[in-house]
Amino acid sequence: MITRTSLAAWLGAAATEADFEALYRAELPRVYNFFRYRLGDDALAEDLTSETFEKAWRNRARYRRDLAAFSTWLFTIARHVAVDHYRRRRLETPLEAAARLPHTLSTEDAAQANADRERLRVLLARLTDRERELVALKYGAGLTNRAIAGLTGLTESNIGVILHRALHSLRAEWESQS
Amino acid sequence: MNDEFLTRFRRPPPPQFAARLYERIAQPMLTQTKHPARRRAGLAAAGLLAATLSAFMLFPSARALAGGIIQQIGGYGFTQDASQVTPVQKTGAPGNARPPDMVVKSQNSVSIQSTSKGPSAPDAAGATRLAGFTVLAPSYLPAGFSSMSDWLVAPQGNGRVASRGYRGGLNNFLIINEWSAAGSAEQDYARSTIVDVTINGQPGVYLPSPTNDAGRKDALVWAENGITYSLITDSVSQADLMKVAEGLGK
Repeated sequence: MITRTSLAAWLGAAATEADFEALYRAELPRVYNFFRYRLGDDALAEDLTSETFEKAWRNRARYRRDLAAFSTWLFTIARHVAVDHYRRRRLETPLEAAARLPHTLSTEDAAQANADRERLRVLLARLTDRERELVALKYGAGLTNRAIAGLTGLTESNIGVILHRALHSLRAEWESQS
Repeated sequence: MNDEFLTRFRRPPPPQFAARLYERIAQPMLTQTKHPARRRAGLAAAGLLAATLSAFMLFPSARALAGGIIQQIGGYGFTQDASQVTPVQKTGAPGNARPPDMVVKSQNSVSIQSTSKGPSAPDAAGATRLAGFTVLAPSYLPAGFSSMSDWLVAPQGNGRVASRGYRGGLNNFLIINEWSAAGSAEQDYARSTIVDVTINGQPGVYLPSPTNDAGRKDALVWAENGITYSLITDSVSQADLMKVAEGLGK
C-alpha cells in the first residue's frame, strides 16, 4: 500500500529529489513559454527561465504552502524577473520586431508552421505590455484566468475582457495579412 | 483563429538547456548531508510500514480496515446495491464533521443518498456563495453523462467541500468534489497503484481501482490554487477524466 499525503511538497523540510524533479519537469515548460510569449526571443527566454528557477531555489525558505500554490509563487518570481529585465535592458525589441513584420510570406521559403509562429511572434509584439503579459500567462504558461487573477490582482472578468480584446486584435491583424 | 491558434507558439524547452539548468539547481540539494535524526526517523517509518503490512497479511480485520480506507475518497463511501448500504466512517482530518454521502448503485440505477445536512445549490454560482470559494463547473462531460444532483456543500476537515454527481447511462456515475481546506489539512489517498499526472500544469494522481468489476471506483485527484479536486467514477476512462479536469471552470 502506498500512501501520499501531499501532491506537491518540494520546498518543505522533507523535500526529496523526486519531488523536486517532478515539479521541475512540470513547471519548466510553462515558465519557459511564458518568457517566449512575453519577450519573443528564445535565447532570452532560456536566460530568464534560469534566473527564475535559481531565484526560486535560493528563496525556497520563503515559500509558504498555506498561502499560495507553488505555481503561483513561481510565476510571481517570473513576472518580477521579466520586469527587472525590461528595466535593465529597456528593450526595444517588440517595436523593432513590429516594424519588420513581413507583408507576404512564401510557403516555399519555410515550413508553414514556422512561418505562422514567426508571424504570431511579431503580432504579439504589437500588443500593449499588459495584454502581452496576460497572453503570455494564459497561452504561454497555460494558467487559468483564476490563477492569473491571483498573480496580477486583476479580476477574472477584467482578464477575460482584456484577453478577448487582445485575441480580437490578433485575429484582425492575422486575417488582414492572410 | 481561435484560442488553439495562440498555443502554436509554444515549444518545449531545449533538452540540453533543461538538463543544464536542472543540474545547476539540483546540485546543492543532492550534496546536502542527510540529518542523522531524519535518517533514524526514516528507519523507524520503514519498520512501522513492515509491521503494518504483516498485520494486513495476517489479520482479516486489518484487511477490512484497509478496504474501508480505500473505499472512502473525497468524502464519499461506495456501495454496490441499496440493500447493502453501509456507511463508511470517515477518517480524515480531526474535526471532520461530515458524514459520508453514499453512491447507491444497482443493476439499473444509480443515485446519491446524501447524509449531509449541508445546503445545496442548483448551479456553480450558488455553490460558490455557499462554499466561500469559487466552485468550478465542468465544461466537458463524457458522452451520455448529465447531472443527477445539485451541488452539495458541507464542512469537511478544516474547510468545505462542494460536490455534484453525474449519471451516465443507467447506472454509471461521476462525482466531482472541490474541497477547500484551510491551513495544512491534508487528505490521504491509499491505493496499490498511483499514476502521476499533470492537470492544468499542476501535479496530480490517478488512482485506478484495484478491480474492474461492479465495485470499480477510479479517482483523479489534484490540487490547484488551494483547492483539492477529486473526480470519482466507476466507468469514465482516465483520458476522459483528464478532459473533465482540464475543462473545470472553462
